[in-house]
Amino acid sequence: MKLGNLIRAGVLCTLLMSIFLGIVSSTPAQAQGQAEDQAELRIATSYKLMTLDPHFANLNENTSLLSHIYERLVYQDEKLELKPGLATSWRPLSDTRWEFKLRENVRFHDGSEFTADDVGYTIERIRDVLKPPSGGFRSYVSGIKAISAPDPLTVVIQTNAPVPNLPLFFSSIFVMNRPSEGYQTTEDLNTGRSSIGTGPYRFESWSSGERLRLARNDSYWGDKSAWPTVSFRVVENPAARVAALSTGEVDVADAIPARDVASLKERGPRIANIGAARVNFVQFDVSRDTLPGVTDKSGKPIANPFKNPLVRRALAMATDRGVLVDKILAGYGTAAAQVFPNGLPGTSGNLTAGPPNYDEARSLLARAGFPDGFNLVLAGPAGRYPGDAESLQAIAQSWARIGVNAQPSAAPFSVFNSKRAAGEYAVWYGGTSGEAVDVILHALVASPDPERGTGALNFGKYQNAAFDAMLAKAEGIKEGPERNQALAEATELAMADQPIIPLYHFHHIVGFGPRIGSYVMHPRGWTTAMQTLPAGE
Amino acid sequence: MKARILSVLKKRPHGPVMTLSKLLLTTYILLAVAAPVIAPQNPYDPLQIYGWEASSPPGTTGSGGYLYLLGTDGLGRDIASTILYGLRISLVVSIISSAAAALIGLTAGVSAAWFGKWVDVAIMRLVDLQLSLPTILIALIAIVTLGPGVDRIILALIIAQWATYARIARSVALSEANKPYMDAARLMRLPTSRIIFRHLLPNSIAPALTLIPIEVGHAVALEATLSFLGLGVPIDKPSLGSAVANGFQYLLTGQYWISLFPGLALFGLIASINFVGEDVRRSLDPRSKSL
Repeated sequence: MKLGNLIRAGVLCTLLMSIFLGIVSSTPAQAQGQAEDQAELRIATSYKLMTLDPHFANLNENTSLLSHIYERLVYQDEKLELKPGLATSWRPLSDTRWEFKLRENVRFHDGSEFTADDVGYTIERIRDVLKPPSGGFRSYVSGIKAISAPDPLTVVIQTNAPVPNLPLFFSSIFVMNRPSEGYQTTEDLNTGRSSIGTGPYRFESWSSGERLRLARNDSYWGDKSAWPTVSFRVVENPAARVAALSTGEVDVADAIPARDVASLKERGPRIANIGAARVNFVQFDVSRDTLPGVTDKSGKPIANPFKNPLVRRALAMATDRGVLVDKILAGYGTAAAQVFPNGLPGTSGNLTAGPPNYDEARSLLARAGFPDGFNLVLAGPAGRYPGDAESLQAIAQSWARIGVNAQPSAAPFSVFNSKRAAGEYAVWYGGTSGEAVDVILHALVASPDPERGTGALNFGKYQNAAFDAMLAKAEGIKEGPERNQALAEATELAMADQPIIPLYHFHHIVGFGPRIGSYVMHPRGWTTAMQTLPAGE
Repeated sequence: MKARILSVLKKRPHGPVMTLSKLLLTTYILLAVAAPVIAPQNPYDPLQIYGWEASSPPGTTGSGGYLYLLGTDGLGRDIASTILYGLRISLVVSIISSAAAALIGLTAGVSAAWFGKWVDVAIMRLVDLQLSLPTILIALIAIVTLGPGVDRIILALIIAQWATYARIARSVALSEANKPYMDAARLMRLPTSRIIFRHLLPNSIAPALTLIPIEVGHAVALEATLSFLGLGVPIDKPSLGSAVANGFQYLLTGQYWISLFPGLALFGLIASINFVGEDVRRSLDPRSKSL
């Protein structure tokens, strides 16, 4: 009996060791073998592509992958500056008329020529034809009154009211090919038979939410891709993406968790990262008179303390963003003092996130009438953004140092969202992203006004007429340094009042294997083959 | 009854595993009771935690003057202190819930046996329904409906566990109810409550009581599972289960200590409760007395 056990244990040990050694020794060889005999670029992505309709929803999930097939009139480069795409130039003819000059000799994948009529078709399809739930792009074109084409390569767009950032809007819209008759429906496109764009890759095959295969467009007007074929595999689990990359099963994997970066590097793959054009923040309810969970130290409800800007500034001053960025995001984040990372257009160089100043914060609180602090419940989603639930606890630790007793409360995003909408929270953690600073300010900080479409994400109902006026003025200026300066000044005005506490801009992290020479990150967080340059050659 | 328990406890054989388990369990209980005194840090007090010391390896000395014997977690909590405080939650939750579940289950089972008819049908069908579902599922449903919090966990565990006691108590009470001393009690026209609580319940209780130690072990594991899934205790007051969950995401990054030590503590706790519980059960079980 004893002997039998020993033998069994021995066999088990050998077996386990051989499995372990087998994995270790076979991996690099396997990866190398694949590098030689296939030139396909394999990408594991977190973006779950659910439709082939490029106008269905304005989500990175769709736009990141479909940007291989379809192109836009205007591009946003890594600095979020506008660059020519299918349009080579654009200029305002008057306050309400814009002229776009289109690129010559551009052909769709079916061989037909790209003309002004296709731009008209694209706008009509989004504005007039698509019905909810596919309305993600309508707000960009709803202000367009008429489209005309003086010649096949010129489009003149007339708007109802002045839209100075119309070119920015066109940096979101994919141009489709006008079919022989009618309009393509989402169902038609999802069959995969008519995914025809002008992009650097042709559509090959797709299975919803799983895989997208693309082949190089050899008659592309721009620089031709180095990869003859590209396959995207949707891998939602971050650990599985990391595993696929470290075993050489894929060449590129996106949305790598910061905590896995160090061990991934040890195993060979390299990492690229960039501060995302987005912000995670704490938002206050500043409109109601009393708030759920906000009490004095003895537990008696108190009047809404967040109406007092001193309290908001004290809490911002007592927030240790260093811990959030260095510990929770493992360094793959940037401390935030405004809505976009410093340096992007429309940001202010005067706003920087410093270390916490507890003494100053405590005296601000005392001036606001809370020398002993108060109690609150800090709500937030769990698992929606990198570091969300952990941030709640780290912020609570910071605030405790000025006497504010924060009880962190994390819930799944859907639960959190519906509870926030139902007014169950007083102060909460949130996140948002957008094409430009003004888009975020427009939604997050401007006073809520359904008619003007402002304040859609201003759930705390913060109102500041001076800021609204400055933002409206900035939005009336055409793209350029003057507009950026006006936006920076508006941001400074709002942030002095602290309607939100910007916490951090987390980094997009992409890992890539030995077959990749470099990967050019984009702050919008897209994952594309065009950003991927092969090694060697 | 008490004398019997004591005498049986005394003459149980003491193997090395059993001695170790008893020693371990006693240590656990002492540690849990003394946690606020002996823990270097109160991991539930944000003022005592230093966020920038998060993920320190075991043996680091922190700025609070603590030696992080087992390291710190991703938010700077001392793992050793988290274990000590987590032990309190685990033990308190499981003991209270098992005791309450036993009380409710016994009363329900004995009532079903005594009253019969529709009371029996109603209670026992409910018990059948509940026992046909996995315990974790019932606990999950209960906690999702009730919301998070330590008191809600206790309630969820009671809901998940009372049925087991009810079924045993009913079968024992049914056989007891037909014994001559019960006839005597009925013929003396004693009040129903007196018959149930003074005669039927004490005599049906022994087999059901043997379940308690085992069920406490189950309750510890169940609480840990709920907390691991993020449905139990508040996130800033980790129990053993949520302490393991906190470190789970760091397992592949080399920061093994965040999950490993709470996991080991949990393993030791459940194992020792189960060993000791099994021993107590055997000594109390009337059938094993003949051995």
